[in-house]
Amino acid sequence: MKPTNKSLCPIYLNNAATSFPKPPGMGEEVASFFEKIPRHPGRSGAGAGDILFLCRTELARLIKAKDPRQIVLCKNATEALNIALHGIGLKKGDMVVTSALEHNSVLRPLYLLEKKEKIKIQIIPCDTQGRVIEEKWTRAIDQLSPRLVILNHASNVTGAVNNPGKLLKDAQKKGCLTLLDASQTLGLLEIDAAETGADMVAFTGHKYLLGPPGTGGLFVKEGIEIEPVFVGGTGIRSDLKEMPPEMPGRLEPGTPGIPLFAGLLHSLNWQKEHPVPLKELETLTTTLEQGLVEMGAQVIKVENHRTPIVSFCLPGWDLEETGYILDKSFNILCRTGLHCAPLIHTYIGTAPEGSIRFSLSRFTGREEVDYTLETIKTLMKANDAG
Amino acid sequence: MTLVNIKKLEDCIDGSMIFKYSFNEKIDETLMKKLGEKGKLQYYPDFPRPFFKITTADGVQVKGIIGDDNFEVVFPRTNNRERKKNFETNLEKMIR
Repeated sequence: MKPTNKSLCPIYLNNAATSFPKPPGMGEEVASFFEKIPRHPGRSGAGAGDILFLCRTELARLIKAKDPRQIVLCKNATEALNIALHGIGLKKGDMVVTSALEHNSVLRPLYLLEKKEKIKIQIIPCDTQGRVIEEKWTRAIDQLSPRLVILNHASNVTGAVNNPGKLLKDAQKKGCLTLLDASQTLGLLEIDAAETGADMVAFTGHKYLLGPPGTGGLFVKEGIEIEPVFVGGTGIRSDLKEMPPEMPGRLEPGTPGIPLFAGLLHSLNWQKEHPVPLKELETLTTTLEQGLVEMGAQVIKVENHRTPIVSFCLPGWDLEETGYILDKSFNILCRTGLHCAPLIHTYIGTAPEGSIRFSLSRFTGREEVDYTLETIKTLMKANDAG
Repeated sequence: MTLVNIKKLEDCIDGSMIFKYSFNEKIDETLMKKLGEKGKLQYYPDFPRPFFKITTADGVQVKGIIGDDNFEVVFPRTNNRERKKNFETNLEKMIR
């Protein structure tokens, strides 16, 4: 029997890359911006009607920052991470500890700093679910006294969530600077910057915050000094030869993507009124995971705290080919490969090719999960027959 | 049927290259079977949009969907230019 996609719409299971759909009206909010006369973009601390200020305020509320000016608006998490890593003043010989589940947006800036500034990097392994091995992390911090530690809040490959409240807080107590990559979690999980022990939190707007691509940010705790990586016009104190000292403008040169942040603000406001149905989302994720296991897929099983991701391989099917068939034959959009996180696969058993990743969102329905499972069943049967 | 475009999609880590071949008409079973004569054909007609994959004797892989106006071809790392040229010569004969 052929699986039937009743809606005939593509089934979108690539939310860990970028979420879809967005809240109602977000697209119109962005588009409407181009119909209005552009006023001064405004900077931090501007009036209540200022989109950037309101966006900052909402983001600060989400991560329980004391002051909206602690939020630096960026175009994505990669930019935020680069601002943090290149601006925090790492010097020759400084040790940086991070984990095997990091995305290339962390790893590549670190490799560049290793080459240019001669910093040292220690990568802490993760377990078979994609969670940092806590004992190894703690031991590395005790023995290596790193200047900076960077932790991925949740793996974008398996969805396993780490415990920054322990891992970062312990490091912070020992005098390390701490940076949390919350790209996969902000908008989905509660994050309290102070409670998690994060001096800096990098995030993106287009995943679980449901905003447009081109939005993101960096939380910087009061007292943490970051030197500007990019310099230029700020709209204020234009007589200075250097970037002005005021945060966040110090780290935000150039005209910001105001229409996009208007879209993000729209989504943040919508989410305030429509909290994520976490329980239902978890049930749906578990249903998908369990269904795949029962069909004989090689699933990276994740226990306890997780984001709505299921990673797996299908015996007898080439990875890229499976992605192609799911898309072209069955109208299911997902992602295959390394997912820009090349190191984790050694630990979860999916090296060197990677995995097929289904990532759900609050908008994913039970019917879509059922269709997806029926599709995988068809692929398994077709393979048996072949 | 006319070949209207050849677009390089990717250089793979293993050195192979992926190209997309687009036509002015939809691919049907006749073309698929002609291509299949050059190697091993795997065909899944029961999929909602039937999928086929052909692996030619010299390792070139063709994958596509019946009813689409394009398919993808993977040329292995070694002698990929020569293989591509041979593939295109054969393809032109088939669609003529």
